[in-house]
Amino acid sequence: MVHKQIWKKKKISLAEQLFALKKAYKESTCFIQGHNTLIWRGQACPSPLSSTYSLEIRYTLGSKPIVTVQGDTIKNIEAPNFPHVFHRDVNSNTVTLCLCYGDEFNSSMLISDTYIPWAIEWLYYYEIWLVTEEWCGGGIHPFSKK
Amino acid sequence: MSRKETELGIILAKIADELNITDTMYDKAVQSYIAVGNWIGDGLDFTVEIMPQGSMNLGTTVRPINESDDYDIDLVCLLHEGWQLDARTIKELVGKRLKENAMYKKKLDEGSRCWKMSYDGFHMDILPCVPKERLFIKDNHTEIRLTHKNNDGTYSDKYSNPHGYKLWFINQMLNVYKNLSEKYAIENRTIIDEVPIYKVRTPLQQSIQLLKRHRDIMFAGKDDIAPISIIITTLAAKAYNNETDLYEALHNILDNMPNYIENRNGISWVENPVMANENFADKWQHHPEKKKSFFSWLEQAKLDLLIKPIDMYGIDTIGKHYKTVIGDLPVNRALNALGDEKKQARSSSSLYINGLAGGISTTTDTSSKKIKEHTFFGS
Repeated sequence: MVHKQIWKKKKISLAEQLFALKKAYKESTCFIQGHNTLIWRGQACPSPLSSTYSLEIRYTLGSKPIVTVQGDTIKNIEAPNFPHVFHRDVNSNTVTLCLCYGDEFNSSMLISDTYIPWAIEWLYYYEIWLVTEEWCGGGIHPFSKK
Repeated sequence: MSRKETELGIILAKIADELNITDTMYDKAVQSYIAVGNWIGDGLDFTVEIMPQGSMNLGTTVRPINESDDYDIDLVCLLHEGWQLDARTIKELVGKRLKENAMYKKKLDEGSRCWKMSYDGFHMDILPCVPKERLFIKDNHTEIRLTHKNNDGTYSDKYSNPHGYKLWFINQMLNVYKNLSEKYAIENRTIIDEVPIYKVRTPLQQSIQLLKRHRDIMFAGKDDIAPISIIITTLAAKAYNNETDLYEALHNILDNMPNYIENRNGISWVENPVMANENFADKWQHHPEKKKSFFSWLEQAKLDLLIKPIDMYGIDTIGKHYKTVIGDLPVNRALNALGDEKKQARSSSSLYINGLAGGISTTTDTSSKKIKEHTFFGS
């Protein structure tokens, strides 16, 4: 039995997620809303030449974190080929990013080590896409093949 | 240098690389001009040597704005034993032989100093010439005598030294040139002497390509007043201080180019570094509009390439700006190449974020976190 416990991946609590986020990104805000939802907000910049973007992560234990970017720095939101988002809200200029697939994230992983680096990387390719209309970050388009 | 300046230099260097002649076109150019040289040589009783001069000889060739257009190649056609020939004979011997080839003849025009030929994707200017003194020997006896046809049909002798200019140009960037040639030779398992100059890619060569393309776009349709390449190249090479960073090199070049224009008794003078008394800016005296357009171009290039973008935010804003002053295709290709590099770095576990504000890069500091492999999903 002892062996099994060692091999089984440990679920990370929201408090541990919050602690790791605050430690890694001191200039961000993070809190737990209600019983089981963690909210993190920060300003991110994907390169020294880039704009600064408002990121938000909403994580309810047992489901996948939801990552949104909001604000005027998000451009071309109505473009038909806008890359790798679940949802676009034109009124609030908010996009919800698709950053991973399958079990690339699970509850034994830290958001600070996964979703935040992935979101910043998304922003980098996004700025290039605005110029070239090509997405350089790779990935899967689930609805592109019929 | 700020991180922003360094990063801008990286983008500009990538764009310059996209302006550079491709391997395919380079090989095709060499094959084409060797064929032309062989054709001329086979029909004349002289040892004929055809060799590139100008940008093709310096690694500063710029692709045409419309990439399906012909490349310009300047060639020297040297009749080795012809040092005693008069100018008219030199020009006509070469012209007559070119016209004997049905393919070449189709698109052959006479310029005041050269034969202009469009062939096989290239626009070639072929300059007939002979050694200035009895023998042409690299590297020390390379002055040539060329022909100039005047408006009244008479000919004058002119002199030049393209090979000497190439050696001077390399000498202006010698430290960086040596290091980069060595690096290329090791990576491509060749010897340093066989590294083609267009593969070396010094910040001087890259700066000249950016400046020439900026000139091409700014003066599209106004060729008569566009600053000429030899002036841009010579002044840039004189101003270059072997900077290894492109942003620093271009900044220094743009600031200091005018300092190398002399004033000789009221005449603006850009001296040919290997032919004392030849003034590359000789036309400025009787065409002051050319001088004026040079200085307005210089100011505009500084603004467009460095000053405006450094005040912008967003790779997208900067990229769209560069498209308007350098052209869509090289900027798109350069930015996609940078994106692809980042993607590859992530796949090989060597891409990091440096805090929230530091951006993604392959270098690390204390706040770095590796970007784990993942799959962008969704439409």
